[in-house]
Amino acid sequence: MIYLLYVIMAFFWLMLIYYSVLTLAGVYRRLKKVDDQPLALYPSVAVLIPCYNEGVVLKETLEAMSQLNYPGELNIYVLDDQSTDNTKAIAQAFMTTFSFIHYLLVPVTKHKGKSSVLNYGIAVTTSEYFCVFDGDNQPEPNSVMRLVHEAERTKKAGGAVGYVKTFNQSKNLLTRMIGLEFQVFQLLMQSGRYQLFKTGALAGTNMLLKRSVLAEAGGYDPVALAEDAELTVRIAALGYLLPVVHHSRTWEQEPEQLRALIKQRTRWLSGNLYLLEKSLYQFKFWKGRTFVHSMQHILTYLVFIVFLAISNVWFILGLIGYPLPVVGTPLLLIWFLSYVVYTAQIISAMVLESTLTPRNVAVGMIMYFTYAQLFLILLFKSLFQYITSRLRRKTIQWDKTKRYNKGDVQ
Amino acid sequence: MYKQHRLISLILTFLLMTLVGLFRYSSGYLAQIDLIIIIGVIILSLFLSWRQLFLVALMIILVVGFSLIFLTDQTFSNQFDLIQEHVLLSATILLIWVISAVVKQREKRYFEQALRLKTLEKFQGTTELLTEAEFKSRVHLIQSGTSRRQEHNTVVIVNVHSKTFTKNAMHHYISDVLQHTIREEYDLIMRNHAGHYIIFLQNANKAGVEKVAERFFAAIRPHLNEIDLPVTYTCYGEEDFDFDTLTPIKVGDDR
Repeated sequence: MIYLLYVIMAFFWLMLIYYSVLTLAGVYRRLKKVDDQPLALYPSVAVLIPCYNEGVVLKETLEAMSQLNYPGELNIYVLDDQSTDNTKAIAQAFMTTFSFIHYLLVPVTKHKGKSSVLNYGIAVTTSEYFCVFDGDNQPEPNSVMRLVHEAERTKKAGGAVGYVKTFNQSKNLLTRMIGLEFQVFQLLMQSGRYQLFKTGALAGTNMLLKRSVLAEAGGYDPVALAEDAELTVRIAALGYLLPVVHHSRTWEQEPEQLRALIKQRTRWLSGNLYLLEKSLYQFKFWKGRTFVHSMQHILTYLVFIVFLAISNVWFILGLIGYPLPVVGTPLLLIWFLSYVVYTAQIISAMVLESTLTPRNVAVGMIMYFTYAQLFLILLFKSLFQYITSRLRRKTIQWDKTKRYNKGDVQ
Repeated sequence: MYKQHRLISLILTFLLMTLVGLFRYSSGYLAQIDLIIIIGVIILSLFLSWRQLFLVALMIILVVGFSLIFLTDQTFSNQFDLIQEHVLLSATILLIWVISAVVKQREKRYFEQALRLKTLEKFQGTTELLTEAEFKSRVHLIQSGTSRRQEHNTVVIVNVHSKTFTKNAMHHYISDVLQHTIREEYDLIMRNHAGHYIIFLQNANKAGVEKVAERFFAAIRPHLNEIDLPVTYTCYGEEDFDFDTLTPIKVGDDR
């Protein structure tokens, strides 16, 4: 028993050191300046926007899309997955005005969801690259151009990944926390990991891919709920790089209510569990750089959760007075350092994003005790849902994230 | 400005408090290490940019945090003392960084304003959409130069007609193309309350206006699906335009 506890503590120590190094690497990469030197020749790009009932946000999305600054051939496709609201009317109004905006009605597919819609969009377009944006995204004018610059300049690049910012961050405490979490995620998982291991991860939006690379990978997996994470692993297995371009930014809307967040994150986590399962029996998921992605999945969704459960049981047994073996380890310091590393990540992200305000700092200080703990509840919920669906041989259905009008009352 | 002074005073007060607290609670070689770190950060703040200094501060906080493991005797009270010391040291370093960042930001702003003043003194045009006040004052400055050189200026008013859904997108697009169509060094552009674009073309006659219009329509035609382009324009000689009210005095030349 005592040895198990030593293993758990060694694991937590390694995680703390790993995330500290990742934070420093991320900050280092983010300090690099943008290279906007033009290319001699610009490849053609198709911007794909999968939409399902995006009426409340689509007008603003297409306004931003119509301002994209790209010196080569750029076409924007609204891929309507049988919406029942005014998505079609808005998209068609833009299509009749701008020659580079197109509306496509996606036929009913066997597996409803983003992957199937994107597979359709890719099948009916012919550009060299394609870029994906969610229906609520408002990219900055140079975002696509910067992704193309990096993809063309990086040897063996399969595409490039941009940065996602939250435009409703100041709406309430929850959106503020989500916005900060996004900044941290992109600082560590994207910038830090690319700096250390050259492993970028597709974010599902503001991402660019070469059509030939996707064809080689076999297209999107229509069953995957976290289609971006799943495709990332397959692309890494083929040996392609996905450079992270933090100067390419898009702004998106995040859930404004806890219920919507739980729904969204349960889907993401279920998608990651599907990927974890895949990685357990497919050797190609452990080749080369893919090892980093698969290891991350194993450590986060399996080892971490098991060890955390054991340490929680240990803690409860101690509280109720059960006689436990004494371990010579500074447990209080381990707990303190976990807090320091987590909060250092949040403050770093704020500094790099110039969002260091007293209110944000105050929220960042309490996130370890509140928002971060939500991850555990969500992970157990997803795990239960995933195992149940596997036992019943059912596929978990795609669940769209709720969108909000700017004036929605909370 | 007053708010910023108050903020800096507040930060300085906090810094003094954390410094006093730090040296009140640490003793022996730990106090010496803390002192060396703080002096080191202050010296580095003179040479590094605020972002680089943040990276250094972050490294110090993490390295000192992890090194506490080697310093503790594992008793609860000792761990608590070390944590307290680390919090005070981290706060001190971060406050030094904040002060350094604020000072550097002010310095940068000062240089930017000096540069802007220099640019304004040249009386040159701009490809940005100007505010009404800026537009008027720049026109006034340019006119004093052109009248001395006996040059003639022209005003063009551009109207955009668009549908409800695409109104904003169309305005963004048209204003962007207009800004790239005019001459960066000489001309000025603004959007008035009615949503019309007013362009001031320096030393331009009718032929000059035709050239600008040609460039503009050539740029928008491939990107718009409309058979009749949703843009019309009217030209005025500068003597036919009231720059105080930004309205024409005579009927212009419609296109």
